[in-house]
Amino acid sequence: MKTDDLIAILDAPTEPGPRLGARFAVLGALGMVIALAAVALVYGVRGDLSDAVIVTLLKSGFGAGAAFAVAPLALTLARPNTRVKAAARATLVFLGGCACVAVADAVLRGSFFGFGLWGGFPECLKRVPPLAAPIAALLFMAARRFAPTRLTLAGAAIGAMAAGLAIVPYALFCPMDYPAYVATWYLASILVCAAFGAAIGPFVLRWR
Amino acid sequence: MSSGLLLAGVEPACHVAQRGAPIRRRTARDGFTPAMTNVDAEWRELLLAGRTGDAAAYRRLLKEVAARLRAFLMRRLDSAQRGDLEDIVQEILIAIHRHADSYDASKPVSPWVYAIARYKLIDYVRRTRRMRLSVPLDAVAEFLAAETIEDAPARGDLASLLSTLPPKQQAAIRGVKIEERSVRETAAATGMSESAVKVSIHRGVKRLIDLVGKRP
Repeated sequence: MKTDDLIAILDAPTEPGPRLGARFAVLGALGMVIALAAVALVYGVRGDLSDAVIVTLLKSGFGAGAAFAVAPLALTLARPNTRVKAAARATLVFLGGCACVAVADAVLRGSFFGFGLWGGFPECLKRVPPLAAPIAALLFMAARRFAPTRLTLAGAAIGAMAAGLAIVPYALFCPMDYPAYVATWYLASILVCAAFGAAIGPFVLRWR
Repeated sequence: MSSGLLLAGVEPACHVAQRGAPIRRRTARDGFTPAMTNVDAEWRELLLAGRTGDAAAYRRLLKEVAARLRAFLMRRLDSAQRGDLEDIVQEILIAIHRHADSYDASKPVSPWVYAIARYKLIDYVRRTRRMRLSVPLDAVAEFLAAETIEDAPARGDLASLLSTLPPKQQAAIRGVKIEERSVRETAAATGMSESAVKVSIHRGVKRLIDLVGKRP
């Protein structure tokens, strides 16, 4: 049919659409509650929590900080977009901060003790992704509605954001308190979740 | 406009007409000439007006976008693909229509339009497996610089598509959209109530654009 005919039958939208930021906030919070329940019921809260309140808050803060740092990028990538450099700034600052903490710990301690490798395989790499999965699922559902056009990057950003939110309750379980450990291995688990998100983004975020 | 402000929940209100809201204007640095910046600004006005219900502005935006898309695509599609050109343009317009509320009013509008166009083009290449089509990620300036080409008919015919709809929806759409009568007149002519006419139009249009979007 003639394109002019098609345009003639399309109505201007009359209702305001939903707001992506609000949806992300609500679903992110819901996901965190689910992750909290999973930590409490499956992983178990650490026994010495009452002695480690401040450290736990700091580690939860790391997770929340990561989520907020990636949020501008995730929100931008969830919509049709070609340029995302400006939105990536907060993420890059966060990454830089992690690097600084890791380096500072090694220098001040004079060794790599703070990286916790003496404890064997870093547990968070195994335990954070399953916590992040339901959060990521909720965020993917929200993002899909907004027509992302760079699906791999959007998947990565959402995966990273979900991981950050999952770390908030995860800190209640994790017994490793060294800053270098957190800055490296928590960050690594965020990157793992970002990689998963990037892998499934092109399938889950596809819209018509 | 600090990206730090784009925290979840602290997002600019996209659905209030924000003609005065500051956006980061594209400059010569991005390869935009003043003429392109004007086009971008004009489209932004039209889209924001359209989103608050201004039907004339919305249609004008779609027509202008279609005209530029045709020119842009003419240069990029090879001769085998050119037969599909108008179909692709229509699919892109439908995608813009369906996802109009994904535009963030604090950003320029032409990258948003171009991103949707590119996504749909890549879909087309994937579906038809015609691999010789390169669509760069950032050819927004080229897209805006393309001259405009006016309407050309695509395959299929509105009349025949309409005839696949149930009679109530056909009558409602024909009356209000094609013969351009008012809802009240159409309701009187067809014996439906006014709200039934509106519902029929809404459902019928939805079905039509689904049909258009599903073409091979």
